[in-house]
Amino acid sequence: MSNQYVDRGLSAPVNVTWEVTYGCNLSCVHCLSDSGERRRGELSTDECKRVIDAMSENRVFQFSVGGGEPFSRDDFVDLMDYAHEKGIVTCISTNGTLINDEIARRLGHKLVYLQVSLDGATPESNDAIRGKGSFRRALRGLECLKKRDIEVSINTVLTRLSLPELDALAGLAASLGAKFRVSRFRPSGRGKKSWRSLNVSKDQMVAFSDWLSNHLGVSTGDSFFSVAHEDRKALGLNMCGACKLTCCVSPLGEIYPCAFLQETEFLAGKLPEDDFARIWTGSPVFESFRDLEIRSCESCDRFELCHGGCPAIAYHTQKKLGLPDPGCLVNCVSVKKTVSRVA
Amino acid sequence: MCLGSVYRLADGVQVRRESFGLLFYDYRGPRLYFVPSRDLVEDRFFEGKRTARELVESICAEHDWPRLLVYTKISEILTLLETKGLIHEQSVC
Amino acid sequence: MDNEIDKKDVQFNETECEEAPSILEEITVEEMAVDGICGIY
Repeated sequence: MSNQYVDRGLSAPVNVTWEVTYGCNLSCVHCLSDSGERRRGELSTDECKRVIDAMSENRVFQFSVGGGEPFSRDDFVDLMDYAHEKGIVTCISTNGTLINDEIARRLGHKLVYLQVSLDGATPESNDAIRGKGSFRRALRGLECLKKRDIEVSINTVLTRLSLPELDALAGLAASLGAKFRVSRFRPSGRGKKSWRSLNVSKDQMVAFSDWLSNHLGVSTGDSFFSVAHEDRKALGLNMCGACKLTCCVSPLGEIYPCAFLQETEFLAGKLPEDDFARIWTGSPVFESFRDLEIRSCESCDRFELCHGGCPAIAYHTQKKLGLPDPGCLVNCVSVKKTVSRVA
Repeated sequence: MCLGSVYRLADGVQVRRESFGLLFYDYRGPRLYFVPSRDLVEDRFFEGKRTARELVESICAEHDWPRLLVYTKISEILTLLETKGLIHEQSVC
Repeated sequence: MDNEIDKKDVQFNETECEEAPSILEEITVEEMAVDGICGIY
């Protein structure tokens, strides 16, 4: 499903992914940002407020906030309050381990949505990926949020280890009154090293696709449209939204097409010093990304469902943009030689 | 449409101007709504500070179009948005 | 009453219609589900 208005170009993103820090108290083996220690050059509180100002001036509707672990920043809740004063919705992705009653109280705002990451339904299975003690601490955070009636979803990254846990995780989410979301494992950050050992096989991906059709209440966002059946078409975005509906701000204020393409060649600008509107409408990186066509997929009868899938996964696995998503249901494994229109 | 009413965004809904008209974002979905109303209705109209009559009159004054034509079109747009649950009418006594 | 339209507005000629082409086009709203635009949320 393409959209003529999106294709023509919107004046600004609808949603901006904002990674607010590289700092994290966990060391998940698949971390897309290779997080751990805070890094020099991370935006100060004032600089972060200027980023929020820039997004507000450009009428961005929503931040999808992550990191690292956002709550590892001392000023994080203050920054979210600032965003809410501007009317911006904040969807916060967190490991949940730093959430206590006081933080939960401050998060009780109608513009706040929280996503707590778990990769297994038991301490053993979860902690194998996210670190010892992380399951117990995340559950404690979830209990604090539940007391405040804050809308929460549990997010799981699909790997060989989490795949057998999906039913149990869905049940755990339901028991906590939370939604359940499954995200795609992408080979960026620490995910590059763990890609071969953790990524699901093609057979497992096909099995997961069938599982999704039997669990229409499970969200997948823009993660799995390359494998989703027709019955899920209306549930979420079925095309890459990078540079059309969204972009990414790194902890250093750098602007990229998406969180999974934070590579030098995709750097489009830097906040707060650059003018965001100019980056969005005039950056050569963004323009070429908008022109991206996955030519080899266009003749496929699933093209309207997936539009070639996730360009980031194609890029990281095949070292080039404009190639098919390797995790596609039609199993387009053999990469056909194609002319890429990427500048 | 009641000309004497103001119209406000429903809870959970935001709106902004785009070249084609109005872009609504309902974060209860979340869902986007692309409304090709061109420059007929400003996003600020949904702050509820102007009545539908004032909107119709301002469009007529700017474009010198027949009042009934403008009324019909504005009524169509507002009814569409109300049906989608994006706005609600508030009568002003 | 606030809702009344003046009778003189009931009739309008074809020329007036031609001058207002944008106002005559039917408005069709397109919708798009956008759950999880960016992949991390």
